[in-house]
Amino acid sequence: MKLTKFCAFSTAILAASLAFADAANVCITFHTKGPDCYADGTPAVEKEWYALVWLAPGAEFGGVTTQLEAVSADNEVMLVAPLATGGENSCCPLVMWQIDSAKAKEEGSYTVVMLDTRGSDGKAAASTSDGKPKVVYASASTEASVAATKKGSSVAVATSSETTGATVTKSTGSVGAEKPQITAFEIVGGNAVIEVSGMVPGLTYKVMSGSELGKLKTSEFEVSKSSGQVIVPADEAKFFSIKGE
Amino acid sequence: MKAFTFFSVAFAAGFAMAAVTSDATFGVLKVDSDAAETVICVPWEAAGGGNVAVVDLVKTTDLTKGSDEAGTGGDVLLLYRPSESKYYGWALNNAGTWVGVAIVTGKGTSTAGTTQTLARGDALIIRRSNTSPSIYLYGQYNATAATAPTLTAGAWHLIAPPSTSGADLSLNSMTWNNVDGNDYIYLQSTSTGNRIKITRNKNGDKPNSMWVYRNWNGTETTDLASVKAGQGFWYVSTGATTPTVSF
Repeated sequence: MKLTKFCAFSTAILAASLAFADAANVCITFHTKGPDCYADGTPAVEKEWYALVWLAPGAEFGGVTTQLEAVSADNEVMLVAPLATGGENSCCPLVMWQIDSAKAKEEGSYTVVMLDTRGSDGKAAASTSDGKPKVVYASASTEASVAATKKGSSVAVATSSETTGATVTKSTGSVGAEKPQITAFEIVGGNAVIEVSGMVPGLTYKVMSGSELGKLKTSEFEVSKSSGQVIVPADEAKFFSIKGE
Repeated sequence: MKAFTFFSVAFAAGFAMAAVTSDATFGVLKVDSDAAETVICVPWEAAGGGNVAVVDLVKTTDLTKGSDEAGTGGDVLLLYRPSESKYYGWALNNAGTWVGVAIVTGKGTSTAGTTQTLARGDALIIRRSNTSPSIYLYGQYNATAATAPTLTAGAWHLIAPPSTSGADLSLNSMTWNNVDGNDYIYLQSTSTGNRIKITRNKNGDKPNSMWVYRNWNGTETTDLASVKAGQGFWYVSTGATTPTVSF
């Protein structure tokens, strides 16, 4: 398979690339118009990961796991790459992907999915040795999609809608995912004042508490991302931890 | 500009999704402190793990602050180091900070405490200027067993089981060895809150290895041979044998 990435729209370059297309391959070209944003409204950071996901006829995107397996049985992750341009109009640049016709889908559609792999440093996840992001916290369809086809050398171009904001549909935890750390803990006036670090932008962190270890329940008390602090009543609970999801 | 870049297609094994949870769990233990002097345990570690500083173990709004920077009239913490045969002392000053002080104790005047730390299984004494029903001990939980205290024949020892259950703990549920029949324990009664003496049973209706409270007419009961949740006790070794205890 070959993938070609363009830094700017160019019909001439597209035409030149088509000249390299093998008659037995299907070419899929996709991009997003941008700005593609995370659920918190910030534009995708540079080199944020995008995935091209195939959806069965009538299916909706159901999210991906950290190992980039589709959550829904009628989805399939075809391609993943760190493509986001970054900046105010962060988007997925024009990408052309040649796929063997034997592996191309003949029905359903392909959709461009943006992942949220930001760590506590605000940067997109690094790549593993086999070309996948080390961790995925969330994913969302950008609404840029195109019908799948097995037709020979024809080109399918995915166009984006006016604004392709990504809204979190699934959040994941995994091996390699950063865990929140409790850095300070104090009882003040019957309340537990907890300070937390190591939070990533794509997850929401809440206090788990209870009187027995192993039986802690998630409360509605959310850690403030700005202060890294949360205050919870300590009258009943004896044990506390932090959960991000 | 164009560039040819090859990317992998992800074909991966299934993975069960799970939220991310902090490695550490923190805990709070409520300890009765309505006596003028209470032996308290060290059930937790510091944030991030490891021994907790004496000044960080007990921090609650129920404590009595001193009238000045030196902690005059405030609550007091005493740490007994048997290897040094002396106490270290701290007082809670007007700013709510534990400051090192020299305090009169049963072994003379204490040394002003500084950065001494406590391991789980250690014991500490708190003297209250104005008693409140309880104080709170809190810190990071560690599931591994705490180190058992090392006892010396013929010496006094401060012992505090580092239980986090919040329940009173029977002395007879602990594992004791090489206990001299004349050894005894001072602890705060789980019934009255008064200081009582616990001894080895003498009556033949129990095995000669039970801790009991013997009342004025010689009646022995094991019911009061219990340590209040979060508290500790004085163990007095009277014989030549070196006793051991584990929790």
